[in-house]
Amino acid sequence: MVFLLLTTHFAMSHYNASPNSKRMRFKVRTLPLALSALLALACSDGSTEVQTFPVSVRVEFPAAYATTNAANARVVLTSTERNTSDSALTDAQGLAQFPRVLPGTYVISSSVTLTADQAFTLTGQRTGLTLNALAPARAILTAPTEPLVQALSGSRIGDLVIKEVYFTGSRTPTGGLYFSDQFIEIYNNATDTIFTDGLLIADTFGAAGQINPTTVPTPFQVQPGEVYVSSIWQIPGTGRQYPLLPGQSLIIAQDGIDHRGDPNGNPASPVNLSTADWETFNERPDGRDLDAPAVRNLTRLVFRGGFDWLLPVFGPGVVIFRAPNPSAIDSVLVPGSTATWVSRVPNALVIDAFEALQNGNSGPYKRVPAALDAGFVFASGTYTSQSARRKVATVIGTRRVLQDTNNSSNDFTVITPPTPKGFGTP
Amino acid sequence: MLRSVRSSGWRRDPFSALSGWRVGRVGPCGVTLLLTALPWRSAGAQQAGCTPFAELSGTVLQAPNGTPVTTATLRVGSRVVRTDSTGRFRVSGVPSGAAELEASAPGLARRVIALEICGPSMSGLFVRLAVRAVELDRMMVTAQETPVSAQGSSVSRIDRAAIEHVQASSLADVLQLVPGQPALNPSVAGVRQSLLRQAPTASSRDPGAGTEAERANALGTSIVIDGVPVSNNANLQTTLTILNSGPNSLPQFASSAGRGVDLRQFPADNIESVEVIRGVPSARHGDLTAGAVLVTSRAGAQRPELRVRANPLTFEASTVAGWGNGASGLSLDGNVVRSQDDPRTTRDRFTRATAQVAWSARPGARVGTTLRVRGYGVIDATLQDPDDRRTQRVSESRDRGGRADLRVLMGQPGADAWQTELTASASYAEQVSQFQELVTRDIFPVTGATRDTLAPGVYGRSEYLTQLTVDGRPLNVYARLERRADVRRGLVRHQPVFGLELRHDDNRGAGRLFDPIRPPRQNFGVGDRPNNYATIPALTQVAGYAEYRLRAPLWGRALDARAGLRLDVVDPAWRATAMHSATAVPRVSVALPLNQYATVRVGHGVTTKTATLSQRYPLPRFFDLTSFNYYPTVPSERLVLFTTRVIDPRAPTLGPVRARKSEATIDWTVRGATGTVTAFAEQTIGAFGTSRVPVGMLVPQFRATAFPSGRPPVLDPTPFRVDSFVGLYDTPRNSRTIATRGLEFTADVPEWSLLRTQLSLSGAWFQTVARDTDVEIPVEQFLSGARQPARVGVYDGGRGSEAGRVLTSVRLLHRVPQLGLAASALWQTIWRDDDRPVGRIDGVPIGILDRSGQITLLTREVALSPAYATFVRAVSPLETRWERRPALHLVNLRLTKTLPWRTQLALFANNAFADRPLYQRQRQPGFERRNEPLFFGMELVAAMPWSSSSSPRTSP
Repeated sequence: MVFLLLTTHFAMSHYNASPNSKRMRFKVRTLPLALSALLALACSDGSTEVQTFPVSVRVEFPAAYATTNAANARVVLTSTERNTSDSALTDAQGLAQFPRVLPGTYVISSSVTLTADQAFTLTGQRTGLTLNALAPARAILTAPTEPLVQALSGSRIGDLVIKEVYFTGSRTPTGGLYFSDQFIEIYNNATDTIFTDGLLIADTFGAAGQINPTTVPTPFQVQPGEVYVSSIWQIPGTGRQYPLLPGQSLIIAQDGIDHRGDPNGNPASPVNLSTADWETFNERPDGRDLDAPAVRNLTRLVFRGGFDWLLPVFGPGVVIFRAPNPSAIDSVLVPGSTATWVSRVPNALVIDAFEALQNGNSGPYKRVPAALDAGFVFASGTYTSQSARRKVATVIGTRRVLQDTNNSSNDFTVITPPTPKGFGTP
Repeated sequence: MLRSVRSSGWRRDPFSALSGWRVGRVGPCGVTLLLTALPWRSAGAQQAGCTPFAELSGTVLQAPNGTPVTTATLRVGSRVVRTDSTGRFRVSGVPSGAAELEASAPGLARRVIALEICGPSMSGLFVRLAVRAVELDRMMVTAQETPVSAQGSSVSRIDRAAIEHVQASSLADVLQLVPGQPALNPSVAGVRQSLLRQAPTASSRDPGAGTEAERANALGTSIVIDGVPVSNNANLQTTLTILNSGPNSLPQFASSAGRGVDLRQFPADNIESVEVIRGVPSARHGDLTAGAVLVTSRAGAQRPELRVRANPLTFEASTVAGWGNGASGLSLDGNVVRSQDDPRTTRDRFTRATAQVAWSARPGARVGTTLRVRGYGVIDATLQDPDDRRTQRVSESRDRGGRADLRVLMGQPGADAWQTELTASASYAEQVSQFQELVTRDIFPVTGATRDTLAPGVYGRSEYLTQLTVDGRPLNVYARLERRADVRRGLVRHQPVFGLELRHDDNRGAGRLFDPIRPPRQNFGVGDRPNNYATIPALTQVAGYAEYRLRAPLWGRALDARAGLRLDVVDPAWRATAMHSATAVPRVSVALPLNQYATVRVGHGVTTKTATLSQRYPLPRFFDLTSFNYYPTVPSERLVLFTTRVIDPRAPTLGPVRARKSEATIDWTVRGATGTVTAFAEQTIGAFGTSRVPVGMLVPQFRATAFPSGRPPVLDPTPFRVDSFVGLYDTPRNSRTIATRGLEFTADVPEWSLLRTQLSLSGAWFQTVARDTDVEIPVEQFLSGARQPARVGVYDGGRGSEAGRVLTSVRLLHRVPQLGLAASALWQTIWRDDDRPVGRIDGVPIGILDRSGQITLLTREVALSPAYATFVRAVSPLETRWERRPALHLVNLRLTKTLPWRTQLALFANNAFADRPLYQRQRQPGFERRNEPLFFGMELVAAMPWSSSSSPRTSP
C-alpha cells in the first residue's frame, strides 16, 4: 500500500513539474496502472481503506459588499496530488459542501458572477461583474472543524466622486462677504481602497451666469470633448501614500483653519476646516494667503487666480482627473483674449465632474461638457452658507454609496449648512 | 420820457443840445440811449468833421424808476470812470469812431451799448440800468464774445442775467454758456471740473472717472476770483489706489487733488460776471494751459438782496448787500447751499456756506484799495446708513478756509499815465477727508514697518473697520506787482504792461492717518502706511511778464496788436532740485478790421502749468513680502515674517506742461447781427499721466528648525531660498499729449421787434486726440498668477483716444418788457459725438522686459519671428471701432416774470420733452443713456427792502 501510494505520488509529481506532452503520455500510462494497483490492494486488504471526510467552504463577498455570504458561488476543490476537481455551489449562507474529501493537498477557488441588479444590491453600483477567490494549495488531512473561508474579490466597482462643494461662502455677523471657508470634498464611492496620490483637481473656466449685463458664456462650449480649466492642484504622493477607504472622504480647504472658532475668522462661518486633509496654500512672495501647518498643502500645478484659490461664489465647475503626465496638459488662449489662458483637459482623463451655475436660468452658461456632467445645480444666492452635496444612492452596510449619474442636476442637492465629512442629521 | 420813441430812430435827449451822435433802438421801458441805427463802422475810421478824440458825459439811471445810479462804472475802451453822487459821469480822451460803452453797477444788470463817437464832445447821454435784465431793451442769456479784450483772445463774457438763466448753483454751472459746452442741469453732486475747448474722450464716459486728458484740461484752467488766481497746487486730499483699480482711480471721498479747482466752492449767486479766456491769454495770466476763468464778484453799493432757490435736491439762499459810493464802500455777500444727490435719501449731501466782506476805499486821489476777506466751508458727505451694518461706509470731505485779498491801485487812469497795481492774497484751508468702511476679506498677514527691513508682522482679522483720515492744510500765497500805462502819441496808443508774480503753495497737514493693522483696501501686493505731509516741501513759483499792446491806424484801419513774453521759474531758490524749472513763453495776437463788416484776429501763444504737490510727491509705496508664513491654531505659535521694501515713486524730473495755441477769428457784423467764427488748434505736451512701472526685488524665504509649544517657531537664520518678485508702482510722468482742433462760432441776431424775439446761436466742433507717449508694458502679468511669466512684451507708446463732438445751441428769447415777462428756449443739438481708441493697431512688441527689470529692444523682424510669437498681441478690429452716436436734441424752456415788491419768478424745465434715448455701444456690449434727465422747478428772487422800491417813481 505504501509502495503504491509513493508510486502514484511520483507519477503526479512528474506531471506537475513538467506538464509537457511527453510527461502526459507518461501520466496516461502510469496513472491507470497505479489506480488499478491501489484498487486491487484495497480490495485485497479491507483494513487499509482511506477515510474521506466532509469539507465545508464558506464564500464571502468583499467587506464593502452589502452581505458577507456569497450565495450561488461556484467553489472548486482541486486535489493537487490527484489532479481531480470537485465543485459545488454555495447555498444562501455561502456554504459549499464537499461531503467526501480525501485527505490531500487542495487548491480551492471560488467564483461568482453577478448581474447588474445583483451587483447594485450588493454594492450600490449597477455594474455586472465576476468575483473570484483563489486560495493557495493547502493540505487537508482531516475534517476541518470550521468551514474554510474564501474571500471573493473582483475588479473595483466605482471610483472617486465629488461628494460636496461648498462654494457660496458665508456672511459675517455684520453681513460681510467671507469666502475663505470654501471646500471641496472627494469621496471614495468604490468598493475598494483608492490611493489618491496624484489626483488632480481643477476649476472650470467661464462665468456661472449672467452676472453682469455684459457677461457671456464660455467660448469653449463648442469643444464638447474637453473641459477647460483655470487652475489645477494635485494631491502629492508616491502613489501609495494617501489611501482613501471605501466610504471615506477627504476635504480640500481653501484655508485649513477653524473658520468659525478662530477669532480672526468668521464666527458665522458654518465650518471648521482645521481638520481638513488638504489646503490650497497659494504661496507667493506678496501673498496674503495663510499656511495652516496642521493641514497639508496641495501641489499647485497651474494657478490663474489671485491670492487664494477662490471658487466662483456664483457657482463653480469642478473636475477631478488623473493624467499620466500632468505637465503635458496644454494651455490655450481664450478666444478673443490676448492674455487669458486656460488649460485643456480631455474628457477621457476626467474621473468625476460637478457643476454649479448662478441660477436656474443659467443653463446657457454651462462649462462642463455634457458627456461628463449633463446638468447643474444652483444655490439661492452667494454667501448663503449653502453647499452642493451628492445624494446617497444606497447604503451598503454602513457605507454610503453616492449617486453618480453624471448629472449634477440629479446627483446633487443644495444644503445648508455644509457637511464636511458627513451627511448631516438624517 | 419813459415812453418809447422807437418810431424816430433818431432822437435828441431833452437835456442835450448836442447833435452829431445817433441814437438807435430805444427800449420801451424808456431807455434813453442809444444804439447804432447804422452799422458799425470800422474802429478807428475817423469820420469827417470829427476830432480825433471826444469827451462823453451823461447820467446813469435805474430803470424803471429813474433813480440816479451813483455806483456805476463806465468803460469805453481803456477809459474807466465812475458816476458821481448824482449819477453823472464824464469820460475824456475817447477816440472817435465806433466804440462800445459798457455800463455796470452793483446789483444792476450790465449793459453794453454800441456808439458812433464823433468828437469833440458828446453829452447828455442817458444810460438806463435795471435790476432785472428782463426789464431792459436787450437781455443776454448766453455768453458774449468779447472782440478785443485786455485779458486775451477768444474771451467769452457771461453776465449776471445769463447766470441766472441757467439756475446756476456754482461756477461750474455757469461755464455751460461758453460756446461748445453742453447744457447741464445745475448740480453740486460730485466734484465739478471745467473742460474748455476739448472733446471728452472715450473712457471718461464712466461717471466720476475722467481721463487724464480731461484732468489736464481742468488742471490747466486757471480760476481767477477778483483778480487773484485760486490755487489747487497744494491740495493733497488723495489716497492710494484701491483694490483692482487703475492707476488713476479717484479716492473714495470727494477730492480734486491733482486736478482743477473744485468749482462747486464758488456760488453763482455772488458772481457778477465771468470772463472765460479760451484762446491765447494775456501774458499776465500764468500757471495755466487750457484757459482762464475770470470771476468778478458782486460787490459795491447795492440794495440788499435775498435770493432763495429750492428744488427737490437743492436749497440755496444767497444775500448781497453793499453800502457806500462808487469809490469806497463796504459790501457783504453770503451763500448757503444744502443739496442731496438723491431725493430719496439725505445721506449723500453737499453743504456749502460762503461769506465775503469787501471794503473799498480811496485814501488818496490817486490811490484806491480793495480788501476782500472770504471764508467758506464745504462739506461733501455720504453718511452711514443706520441700517447698513455690512459696509458701514462713510465718506466725507470737509474743506473750510479763508482768504484775504488786497488790491492797491496807484495812479490816475487815463491818457499818458502809469498805473501801479499791487495784489496780495493769502489763503489757508483745513481740508479733512474721511473714509470709513467695514472690510471683509480673508485673514491676512500685515505689517507696520516703515522702512526696508525684515521684521515680524501680525495676522489681521478677516473683518475690520478701517478708518482713513486725510488731513491737509494748504497754504497759498499770491502776490502780483504790475505797472501799466496807456500812452498816446498822435493816433497811436501804446499800452505797455510789466509785472511780477509770486506763487507759494504749501501743505502742512497731518497727512494720511489710519491704523496700519486695519488698512484701507489695498491694491495687489502693495502695503499702505500713514504719511505726514509736513515732509513735503513747498512749491514756489516766480514769474515776470511784459506785454506791449499797440493800437494804431494801419491802411486806414485800426490795428490792435499785442505781444507778450512771460518767464515762469519754479523753485527759484533751487531748494528741491527736482522741482526747478524755468520756461519763457511768448503770447502774440493781432486784430485788424478787414472792412466795416469784419475784423480778423489771429493769435498764437504758449502756456505752461507746473505740477501740483500731489503730482510731485506721490505717496511712497510699501511692498510687504512674506518670508515666512505659519498659522497654526494656537495664536501664540503663529509667526509671519515680512520683507518690506519702500519705494519712492517720485519721478526724478517732472517738468511743466506746455500748451501751444494758435487761432484765427473773424468777428462779423451784418445789419445789426454780430458773430464770431474761430478756428483753433491746440497741442498740450507733457501733460501729467501716471505710469505703472515694475521694480524687481528679492525675497528671502526661511524655514523653521523647531516648533516649541506655545511659542513661535524657531527659524534658521539662513534663508533656504531667495525668491524674486516684480512689484509695480505708479509714478507721475509728463507722458500725455492732447491735441485739439476745432471751430467755435457765435451769432447774435438783434431782437425782431415785431415778435420781440431775439435769437442767438453758438456752437463748436472739437476734435481731440489724447495719447500716452509712454511705452506700454503689461506689467500686471507679472502678478497675475503663481506662474508669473519670465518676460512680458514692451509695446510702443501712442495709444489713446480720439473723440469728436459737434454741438450747436440755439437760444430764442421772447420778451414782453411791459409785463416783465421773458420766455426763453434752448435747442441744443449734438450733431456728432464720436470716439474711438487710437494707437492700438499693431500688437507687435518693440522689446521684452524680464523679471530683473531689463528691457531688450527687438527689431520688427525679430519681434515677428516665431520665438516671440507669444508676445504678439492680437488686436481685434472691434477694439478700434468708432462709436458714432446719432444726433441728439435737447430742449430747455424757461419763463421769467417780474413781480411786485422787487421779486421775480422763474419757471424752468430742462430737457422739457424728457428725451433720454439709449445708445447701443459698438465696441463692447451695453447701452448708454444720453441727455440730462428732466429737471424742472421754480425760482423766486426777492430783493430787500421790498417797500422802498415797490412804488416806481416818476422818471426824470
